[in-house]
Amino acid sequence: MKAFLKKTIIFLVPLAIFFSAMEPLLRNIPNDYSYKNNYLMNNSNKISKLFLGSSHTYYGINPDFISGNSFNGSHISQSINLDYEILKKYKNNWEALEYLMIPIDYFTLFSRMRNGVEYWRVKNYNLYYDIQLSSKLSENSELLSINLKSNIKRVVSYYLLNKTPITCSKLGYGNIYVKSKDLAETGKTAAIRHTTKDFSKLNETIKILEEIIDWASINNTKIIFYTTPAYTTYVSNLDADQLELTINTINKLVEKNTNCSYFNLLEDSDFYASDFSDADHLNQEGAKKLSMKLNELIITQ
Amino acid sequence: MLFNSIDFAIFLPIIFFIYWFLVNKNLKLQNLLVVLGSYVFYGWWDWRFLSLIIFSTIVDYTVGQKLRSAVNESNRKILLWTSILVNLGFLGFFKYYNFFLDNFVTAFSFFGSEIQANSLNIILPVGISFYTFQTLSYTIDVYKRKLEPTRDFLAFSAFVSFFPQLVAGPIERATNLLPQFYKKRTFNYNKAVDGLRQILWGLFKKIVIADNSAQIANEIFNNSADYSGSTLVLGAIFFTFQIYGDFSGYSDIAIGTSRLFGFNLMQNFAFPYFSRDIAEFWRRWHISLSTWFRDYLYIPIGGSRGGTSMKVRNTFIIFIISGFWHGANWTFIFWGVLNALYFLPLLLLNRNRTNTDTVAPGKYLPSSKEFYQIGITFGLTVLAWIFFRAENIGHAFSYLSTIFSKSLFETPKFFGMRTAISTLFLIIIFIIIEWLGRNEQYAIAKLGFTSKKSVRYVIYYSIILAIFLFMGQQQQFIYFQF
Repeated sequence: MKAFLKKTIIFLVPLAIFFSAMEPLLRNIPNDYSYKNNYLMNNSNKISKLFLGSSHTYYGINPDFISGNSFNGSHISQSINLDYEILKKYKNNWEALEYLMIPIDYFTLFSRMRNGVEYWRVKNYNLYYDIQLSSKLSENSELLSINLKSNIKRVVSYYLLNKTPITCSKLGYGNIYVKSKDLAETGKTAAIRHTTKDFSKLNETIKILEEIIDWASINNTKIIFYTTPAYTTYVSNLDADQLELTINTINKLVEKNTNCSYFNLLEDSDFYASDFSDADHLNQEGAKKLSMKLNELIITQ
Repeated sequence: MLFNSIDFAIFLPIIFFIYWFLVNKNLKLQNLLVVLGSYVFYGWWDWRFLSLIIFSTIVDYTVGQKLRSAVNESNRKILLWTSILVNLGFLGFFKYYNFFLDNFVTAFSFFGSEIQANSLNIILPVGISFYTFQTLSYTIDVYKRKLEPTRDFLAFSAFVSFFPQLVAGPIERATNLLPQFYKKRTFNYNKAVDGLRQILWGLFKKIVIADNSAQIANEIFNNSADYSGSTLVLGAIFFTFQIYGDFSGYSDIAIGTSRLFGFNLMQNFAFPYFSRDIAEFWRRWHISLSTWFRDYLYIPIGGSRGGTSMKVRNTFIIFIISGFWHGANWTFIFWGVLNALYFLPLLLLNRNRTNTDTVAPGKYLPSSKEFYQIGITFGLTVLAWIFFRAENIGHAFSYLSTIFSKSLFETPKFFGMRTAISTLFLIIIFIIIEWLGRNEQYAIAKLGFTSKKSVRYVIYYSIILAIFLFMGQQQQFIYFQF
């Protein structure tokens, strides 16, 4: 028995050393989550227009084209429950917040990050926002949530090649260059990916939205819901029932609450193929256009 | 608790330490620890369903005791049927209630009668099909006087709930596992190392092969209407490796973990994808279930005795029930029927026991004939798995009709192509390792006997590295739902 334990421990020591050295190294690498959390920690009391949401906002809203103090607090695949968590985390700081901008996209009412392919990102909220979404060790560790291949790449890129892993601008816009993809193909694949057969999250999402609306009402904040523009190849592949349910649900909420408005820009004719990096994400030109458009809508409110 | 979770990585050393260091001198305490540890392991998922396991344990222990004293044959039969009805009653309620109800309603409406029936929102207790069959094996063996009923309630509880194989097998026979709880276990270095090695290989199969294959198979099966026939073929192949890596990986971890505690469980998979015909496949796939059905159903209903029609009938019964055991869905029944149809020609031509040895013994490569046979058997298996994975029969047939269309010759294209290519590369390496180790209980078992220490360590570290390098998204073990 002693020999077994001794040899097992000897076998595990190099692994333990490797992992205990890697985890702090990885956590020390700055990223969008740690950056945005720091920004909000220091500036949330000055922000007048806050944009939340997923990659559609991350790549689609550039606060440089929004008047006043605005910030893009979205992240890739950030679902509505996580938007709410961020909002709650700084709930006592939003004294200057006039407008809260929440995208209501085709999948927003039915999806959660945890249930999708990007669920590994949950650890970012645990580790960098200090929002305890889960006590699972694998969701509180860099090493256990991403495969080693990606982690080694991150370490090499940051520590050896001195490359910054932060892919957003100072105000949170995802300004990393994204290579244009085939609009026909991405339209189809993204629509398939975003179409769901499981509507079980709808009621929970409505409840979250109502809580956000109630909080905003107390805080004297107006909420603008909007559906981000998408290219026709995406729109034509969407399930009509899911889309209708989304739009009807949000319209009903807006009707009931005077501090809310909704703008459906999904098929907005001002956006052309040249504004998209793929069928459901805007490129830098498109982001500029959308940001200016929303800014005008805010002004006319 | 999942085997591939951090929770289990903490749980296992704690139980191991207490088992071998604190309670090692007392067999009763060791068995008590196994029972308590198993209940914690199971309760981690949902503690409410522990009551089912405890109830089954009490019922079957009591039936066993009564069978000891019952001399009258009709009383013995009543006792046997009490156990069968209680165990299958739970299984039937939790697993099949809604299925029968829905089909009952559909059948009535087909004949013009509308009946109102509300299906229940029933949660299927994890592993119920496994421990039900395991505990039934005890009662049946005691009834048949193949096994002396136990007087040791603690040992019996440990046998029913033994955590390594509680939720997804191997389905152990009372004749094999129960006596192991009576004897004092002594720590055996080689056995423990072998256990760790098998756990490592099981984790590789699950985390690298199954979880990566699952991502692609899920994408393709969930959106099959939008993909070409060639893509759907790939989806079915990835599912074929997902289910093998997932289930045989679980079995490896279960067997390896048991070995750490001094127990020997039966081999559950013996390289089934190298089978040369379907009969051989079924001797190598989920062995503990196949042999359970053989011994407790096929042989009692007549087996291969009697005429041809009897053999055919029994073959269909066994495959259909085996399919239905997997889930309350027509897809599983159809999967069973399809396998029966595959099996039938071999049975009728009396060739179902042609390939009983390991393929290409002592050779590096199979002969062209063996290669052809393996290819055909693998192809038939892939085809059958489509029914197993499909959401319903309609989905399975539309999946198949797309495969057998012109789009079969298009270049496969789907979301996640890059992952698919790297996963395919890993699967090829996996197949090579499995082929080289096909004579053993599990692919890397030979490492313990033949390789130098340095070579062994390099291989172990490489497997660990591969697990961390290529770990896919964590997926639930498929067989938990059965």
